[in-house]
Amino acid sequence: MVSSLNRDLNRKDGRAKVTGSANYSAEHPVKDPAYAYLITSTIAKGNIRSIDTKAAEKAIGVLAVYTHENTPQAAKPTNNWAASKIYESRLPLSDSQIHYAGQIIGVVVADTFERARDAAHLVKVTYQTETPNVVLNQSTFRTAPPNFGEEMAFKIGDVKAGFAQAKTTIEATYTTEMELHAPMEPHAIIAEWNGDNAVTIYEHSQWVALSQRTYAELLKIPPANVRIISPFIGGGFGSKAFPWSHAVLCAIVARQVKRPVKLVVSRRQMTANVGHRSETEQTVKLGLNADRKLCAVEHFAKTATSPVENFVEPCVIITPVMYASPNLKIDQEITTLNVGVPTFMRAPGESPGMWALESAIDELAWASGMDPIELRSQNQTTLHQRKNLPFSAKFFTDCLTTGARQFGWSDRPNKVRNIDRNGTLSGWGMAAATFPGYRGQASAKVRLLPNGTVHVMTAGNDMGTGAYTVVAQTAAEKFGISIDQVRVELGDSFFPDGGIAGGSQMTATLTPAVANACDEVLKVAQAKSLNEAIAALQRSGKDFFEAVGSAAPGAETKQYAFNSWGAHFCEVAIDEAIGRLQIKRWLSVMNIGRVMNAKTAASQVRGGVIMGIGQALMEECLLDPKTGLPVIYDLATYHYPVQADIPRIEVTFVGEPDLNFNPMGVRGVGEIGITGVAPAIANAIYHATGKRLRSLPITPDKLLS
Amino acid sequence: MDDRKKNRFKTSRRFFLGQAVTAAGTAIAAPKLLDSLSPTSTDQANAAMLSSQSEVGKVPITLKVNGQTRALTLEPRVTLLDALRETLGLTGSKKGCDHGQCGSCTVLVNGDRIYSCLTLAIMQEGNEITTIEGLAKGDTLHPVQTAFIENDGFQCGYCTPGQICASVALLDELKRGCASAITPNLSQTPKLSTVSSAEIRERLSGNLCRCSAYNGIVSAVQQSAGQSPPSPIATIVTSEELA
Amino acid sequence: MKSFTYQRAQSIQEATQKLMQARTEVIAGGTNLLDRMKVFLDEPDQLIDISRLSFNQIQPTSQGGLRIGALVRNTQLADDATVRQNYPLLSRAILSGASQQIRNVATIGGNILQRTRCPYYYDTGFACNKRKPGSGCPAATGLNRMNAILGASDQCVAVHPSDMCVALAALDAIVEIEGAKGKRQIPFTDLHRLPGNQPQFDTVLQPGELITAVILPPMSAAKSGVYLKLRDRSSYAFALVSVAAIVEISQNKIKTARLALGGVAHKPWRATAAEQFLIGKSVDDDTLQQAATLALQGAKPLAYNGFKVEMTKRAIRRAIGISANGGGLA
Repeated sequence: MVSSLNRDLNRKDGRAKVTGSANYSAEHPVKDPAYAYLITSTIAKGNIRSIDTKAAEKAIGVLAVYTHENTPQAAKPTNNWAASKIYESRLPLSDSQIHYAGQIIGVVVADTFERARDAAHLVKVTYQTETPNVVLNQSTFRTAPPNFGEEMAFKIGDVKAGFAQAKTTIEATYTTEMELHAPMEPHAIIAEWNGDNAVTIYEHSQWVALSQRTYAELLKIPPANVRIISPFIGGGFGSKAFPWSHAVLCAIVARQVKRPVKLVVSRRQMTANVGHRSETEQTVKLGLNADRKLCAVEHFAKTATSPVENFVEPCVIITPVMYASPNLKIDQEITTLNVGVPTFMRAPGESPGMWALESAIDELAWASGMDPIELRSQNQTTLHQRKNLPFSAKFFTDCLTTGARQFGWSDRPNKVRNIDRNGTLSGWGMAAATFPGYRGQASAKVRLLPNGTVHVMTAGNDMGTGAYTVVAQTAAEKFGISIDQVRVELGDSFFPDGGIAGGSQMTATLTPAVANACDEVLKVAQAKSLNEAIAALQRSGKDFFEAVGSAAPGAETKQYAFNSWGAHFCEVAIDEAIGRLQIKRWLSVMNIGRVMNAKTAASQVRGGVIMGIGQALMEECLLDPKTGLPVIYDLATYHYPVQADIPRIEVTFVGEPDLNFNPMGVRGVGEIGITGVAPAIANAIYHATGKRLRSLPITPDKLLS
Repeated sequence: MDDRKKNRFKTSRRFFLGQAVTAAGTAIAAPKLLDSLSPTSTDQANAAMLSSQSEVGKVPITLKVNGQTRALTLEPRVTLLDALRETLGLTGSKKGCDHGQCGSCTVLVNGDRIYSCLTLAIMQEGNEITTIEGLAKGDTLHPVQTAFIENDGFQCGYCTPGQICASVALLDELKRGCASAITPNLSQTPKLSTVSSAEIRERLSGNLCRCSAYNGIVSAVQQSAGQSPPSPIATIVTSEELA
Repeated sequence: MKSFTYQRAQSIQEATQKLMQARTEVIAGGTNLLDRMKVFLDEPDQLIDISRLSFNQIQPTSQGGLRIGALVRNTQLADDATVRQNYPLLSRAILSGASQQIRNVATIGGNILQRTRCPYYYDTGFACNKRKPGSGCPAATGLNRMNAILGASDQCVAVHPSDMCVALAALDAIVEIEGAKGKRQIPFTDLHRLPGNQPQFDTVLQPGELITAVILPPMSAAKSGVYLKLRDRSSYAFALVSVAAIVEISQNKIKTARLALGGVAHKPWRATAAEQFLIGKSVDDDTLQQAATLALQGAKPLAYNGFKVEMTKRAIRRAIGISANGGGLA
């Protein structure tokens, strides 16, 4: 069973969020803040020849203007994930070189936001301009570097021989455009120094403890002198895990002007400065033998990185995880374009990778006359073919069968171009979903108060994932109390390292630590139950009992591979004459281990699905090929779904707790939702129109008959 | 907090300047500070100069926010949103794009929803401004706020104040018979009790949510309109049920 | 945003006089002007707030039409009972633009005078002849998927972004203008201009002139008028293309036809040749196809917006078809 004691509780942080009292990064009250505004490059490649700040410096209210000519440099951090990590390895304002359009070339500090923004516009820059390259297919490619220490290239058997045995072979190339995380909360930071040696950083951080260590290295002060405060994060999706250049710069200039400095990256500046998902071009070749088994699988991908960072969108890693084949080959190449830093964005690799693979599987199903569910079901793999380990608690078949039953898949006409009651073309599509089960190490502190309140504190955080709620649930369930009796504080580096809200691992990482901390506090109280502990505390006359508990993965990672699984089903209606598409129905069936909270987990899946709908139908950041400047640079030009695009999304969970993975039995749910969405839609479009669309996004012009 | 922010130019300029001048004299790498901050001037003279400078172009503005009259001194170019957030300390209204493209800054002006980033504070003198902070009555949440919690109409929460203000206005617009682009018959506008989810979705399309709590938001509006929305909770099918 | 002084105009005369001064702008709703000022497209020294003047009425005219004050808010016009009844395509065009929050603030005059959303115009990092005459038009040879296919010049390929204006063009609206030299009226379709070699001018308004009202003539056929907008997402997005169509049927033949296009040109585009062709024809596929072809005659698609030609033709056929059947939601 996957249900839990308090399986559908409302969000613990709900009241703060609906009353406007939740403080996000730029909203923490500090004394007398100054406002910083970035100056950014209007060329994509070259050098700054001159930068004239005189007019800006003279402008009313301006405190200082910093450029590469006068800014104290940050110390180069270790940047190895363990000690520290920054997104862009080139430190801000380190020289006069321009690597991408919109690159930070200075910052103005003034007494008001309006004055800082105005003065930034007064800075006159001349450039020595070089011709940028921002076009993927005009580039030279090189072998992609390893992904977390693992080579991208991998093979089993002999694919050439495998394809020779195939009865049905398909091969196709699929593309995706550059995508932006575009969280609702723009990236923001307030840096408040206390003297020259201690700083409080109010900044959204998906990994508070690492952020603390990173700023310590950058600013050459002890970690204990850096306090990161990140109680609420207005969406991150991978773009708020580590300090970006603007934040490093803000911390540096705040030390200089000796005043708290608030810097909010404007929506336009976010286009280049806070990450994106690289565009991708992927070729998938599949061979199916007479026994309806995959006999050869090939997946090859090309992505782009930035001159200032080597990031690979690891598209192909998903293929040996999804389907068994005795002959399999994957590889990936990258090129360098004059673009900002590509980085982790919700299901990095899996999202575009599954777009290509699950589209290709659908093409194979049509080519071979097999039902796409049956094809997937029969060719799934019980082994993680790269790790050569069995999957733990895998219920992919249940996702397929339950989804088929709930969606009524058997009623799907087995031909394309079916007309619905309204005279529009109707298409049904499905695709699989998967995301690895990641888990890290984390600690939490539990404090028991004489009035029975259980206070949980950890530097782990909640960017909308529901961590406040599941942490409270964990303690409440452990002690058999209401979550109203539990108080949760997150996102403060004064608390124990709660790990990263990334890789969909916060719940799997943090809740076992919270459970252990609950046990530890009973030990401190020398009690067997909460009531005994409270009685002991009251007898002791102390203000509280407290203990830290920790948890980390162990030997299980050598025995099993861990992945979450799922299947999406959708129905689209297409008015082909005018290129108008509506998604009529959506069902996602997910196997994520134990479901901690069926309300917040459902929202996570829906959020992933909707971001996938955006990827499928509208999201693309485009750069002018001549100048390299973006022509999509705000929320009017970068379309992502609005309410009117989105139908009711039904979510079902199947399977059992994955107790091999962690004592709570939970796997992540934050990212799996987006995987498989775009192909489910493209597959439905094919069913509706007979047209196979292989380039995202599928905008109305591509749907015109 | 509000009072302190309001008076900051009167009370704290000197404090800062004393420090800034010291910084200019002793900085590790001197930034290009204002000419007037050259160490040859006295601290006091600088303080007086910058303090008077900081008032340049500012005008008195009176705003009525959440039933309270607030007297401010601001440059005319300050938007209503920035006045709320940076001067009045009302940070519940969010800045998501600053260009009227996302809806996070939605507030009510004389009951109508507007984007507070696309209007100047000075233009709103004399109007009744209601922000997210003004919706609850003491500890009692507005029914729309409660419905957002119960239907999980948010995740990260950043767009939420704007979504809630927009939803409150939407319910009122329905009562007043406002139409939408997809209202089938313009002279028969939908009623609260029967308004379709498609109508709600069209009417809330000026409020983006990147976490995409869109389903929960629609349910929250339906609940507030007196309808029975579908449960936000996922279906759980156990292995026993499948067997 | 540059600093400026702010004054509330006490009269239209005061506003038009002030508007003659250098670096002066009037503000009413401000939803487009402030947006532009924040990114330094407009840098006025003084801002004259006209939003409290009394040009905010919708009144019947003696001819049986409507006079709409320039300061009427978009929402007010869309929800006006007479407009819904007699000019439903105008309601629908307004409601399909922007969002309720913007429509609550934006005025009719401001909607008409809003400027293009061409991304090259909107970012001062690019050259742009509209912003800085003579600097060049990178959109013409750049990523121009959203740009013009009709009436563009080599100096400017921007499109007018308004939905409402497409309906006003089809409705034979008249614009009432007041300036330091007095009042005048011009047909709405003559207000906006094509870019030619002066793309910096969107309209024929002279310095100091303001729009004070829009007059709708009576038009019984307008009850069956249709507005069809096609865009990249279902709501809150500018048009790829849009069509306002009003056809009047008598004895199974088209008696009158009015057809205006949005998203295709520097101005709301009235397709008069197609209108002429339609008169006297029966509504069948062949007629619609020929009318659509005529409407798009002379279209010059750019590298990335070729689809607009066919998409506009389809939208025209669909919109006329619905109007011929009595109108309604498209």
